[in-house]
Amino acid sequence: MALLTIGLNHRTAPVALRERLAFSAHQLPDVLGHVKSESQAEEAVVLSTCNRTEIYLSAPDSARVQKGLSQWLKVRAESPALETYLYQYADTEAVNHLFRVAAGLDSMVVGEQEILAQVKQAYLTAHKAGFTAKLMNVLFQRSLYVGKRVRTETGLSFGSASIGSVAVSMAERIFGDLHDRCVMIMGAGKMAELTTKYLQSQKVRSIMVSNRTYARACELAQQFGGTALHFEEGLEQMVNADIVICSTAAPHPIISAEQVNDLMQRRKGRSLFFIDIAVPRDVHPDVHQIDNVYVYNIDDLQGLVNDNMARRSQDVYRAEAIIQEKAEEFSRWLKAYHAGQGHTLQHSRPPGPPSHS
Amino acid sequence: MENLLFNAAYVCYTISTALYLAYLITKRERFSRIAFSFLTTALVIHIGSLIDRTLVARMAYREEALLLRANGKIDIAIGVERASHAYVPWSNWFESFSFFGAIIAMIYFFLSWSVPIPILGAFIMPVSWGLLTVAFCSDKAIHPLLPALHNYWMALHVPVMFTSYSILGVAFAVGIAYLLQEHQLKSKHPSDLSYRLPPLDELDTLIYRLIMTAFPPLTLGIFLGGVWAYTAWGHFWSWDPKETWALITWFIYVAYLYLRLFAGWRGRKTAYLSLAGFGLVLFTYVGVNYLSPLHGFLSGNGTINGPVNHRS
Repeated sequence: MALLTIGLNHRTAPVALRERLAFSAHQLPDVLGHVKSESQAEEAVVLSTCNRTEIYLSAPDSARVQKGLSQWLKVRAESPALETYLYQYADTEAVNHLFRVAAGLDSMVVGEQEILAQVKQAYLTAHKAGFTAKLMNVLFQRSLYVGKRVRTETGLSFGSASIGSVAVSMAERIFGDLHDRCVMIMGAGKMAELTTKYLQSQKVRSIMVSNRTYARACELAQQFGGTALHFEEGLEQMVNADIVICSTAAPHPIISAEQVNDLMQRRKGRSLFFIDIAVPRDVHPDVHQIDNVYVYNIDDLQGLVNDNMARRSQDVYRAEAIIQEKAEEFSRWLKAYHAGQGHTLQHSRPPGPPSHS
Repeated sequence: MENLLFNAAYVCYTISTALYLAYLITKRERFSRIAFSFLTTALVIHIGSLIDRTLVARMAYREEALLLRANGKIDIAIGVERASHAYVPWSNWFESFSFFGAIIAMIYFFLSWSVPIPILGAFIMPVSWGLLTVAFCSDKAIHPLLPALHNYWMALHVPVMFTSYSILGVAFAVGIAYLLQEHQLKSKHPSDLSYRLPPLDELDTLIYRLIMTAFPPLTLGIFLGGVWAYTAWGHFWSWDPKETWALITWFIYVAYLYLRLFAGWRGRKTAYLSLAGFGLVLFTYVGVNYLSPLHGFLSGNGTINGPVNHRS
């Protein structure tokens, strides 16, 4: 009996190939059925995201699995040379690989959070469809536990990895809970839209949109469930805003230090956060010098993203060490489990207590 | 015994403070939990030591009074008897610092139920610890009280003052946390520290609430001091340096509240005001003892009699 992983990811295969092997959630039970019949596996889980497609199997005969499965994948991917893009791991290596994936070490953005939920979803789908038994159940629950533990014990998932989420995290450093805050958008760039979406997911109180073209302001306002403003009203209404996202196409700064000084008088000193993602910048750099006003432009935010990435990579070794330890622990259990399978299962208690995971 | 208890409490405070600082640096939740248990233990022992000290002192005075009566020195005996009833554990240099530090720690203890931000322990506990260290290093013997302090006002005026001062001390500590966080965010390259500190606006609001809470007891304490002065010396206010500086301290917090509420001052500038305010508190409390002819109880500089010819 062997534990096997076959798959491809963003490092081994181009997107043109990955997308042909990317399975949506409702396709998965069907795919699992094929995988099981082609490989004669006893248990199977398929993890399919935009960056990877991986098949986890427990099968009595690994050579047979390889042959049957790669043939089926070749057909499915319409690629005769598929094998050059595939990787394969067995036993301890397969366990190690899954733990690394769950921890986000194998992701394009190291330490990203989403993959953990995707691993969980892949497992639950296979479990519900009846393709998992003891081995896969223990393996995947264990991987979720390890993924969480690596994230809490190391800085691997430290900070945010995108401009939008970094901007939100800065807003939270200033205001704390954002649900009582008001956001204003000036201009209507793509980045502004994205950042607003992040802020909206924090359930801000209200959103105002001001734009040179009133029709476009209305359109965006409708999309976010906010209010549209004429451009001239924007500065006036800034008294009520806490976070201002600027992304106009203006060739010069449209918000000067004098204006903001005035504004702060009327705001009675309440903090104001400018997220200036316009290039050229919309907010004059001097504005940042004013008390209780914080201006972060696109470079500042990118700088924060880079800081976070640097912090994450510092902790990769610690994360690898935890994973190595947990993978070996699991392999010992796996051996005992296989050994005991014929007669007794008394030595095959799952490793460790992931009770608080 | 009472010194032993104080020393034990001091050790617990020291460990608690060190653990809070370790938590600030390492972000290990465990440190903050252990720090809190040490703080709780320290407070229990410390309160025990205050009670014990009071009982021991009162007993000593009673015995002394009996001895004096037996020797026929009735006049002095009456004064000592009064002291045996009125002794409170905040009547000399050591006791008042010990009491001051204890109240700050106690306020932090209760604050952490309503504002569960353990990181603030790393700022508040060092303030408490600093005051307790002064106490730890000073003469712990129980000396006879000055006659001017043989009074129940002592039991009222001083704790009210200390409560207010301690809340202002906590505001000072939170002010430092605020300024650190503000500096981090203005620098545009916030370090890990920024992610551990509470958000700016929460800190600013907390400082405001603390000062708002400290202000009524500050006012009341100064007023009670005046009433006490009136009963003791016949003068409500004598422009003694201690009184003058207490008034200046009071005014800086009036300024804080006025500017915060009506002039739109927030954030950095008001945080500096709260720092300066506590600086004045410490000066009024300690420094002025060396200037004041009336309130020099702590330094031993004060005259016993108060303003000449105005004893009640």
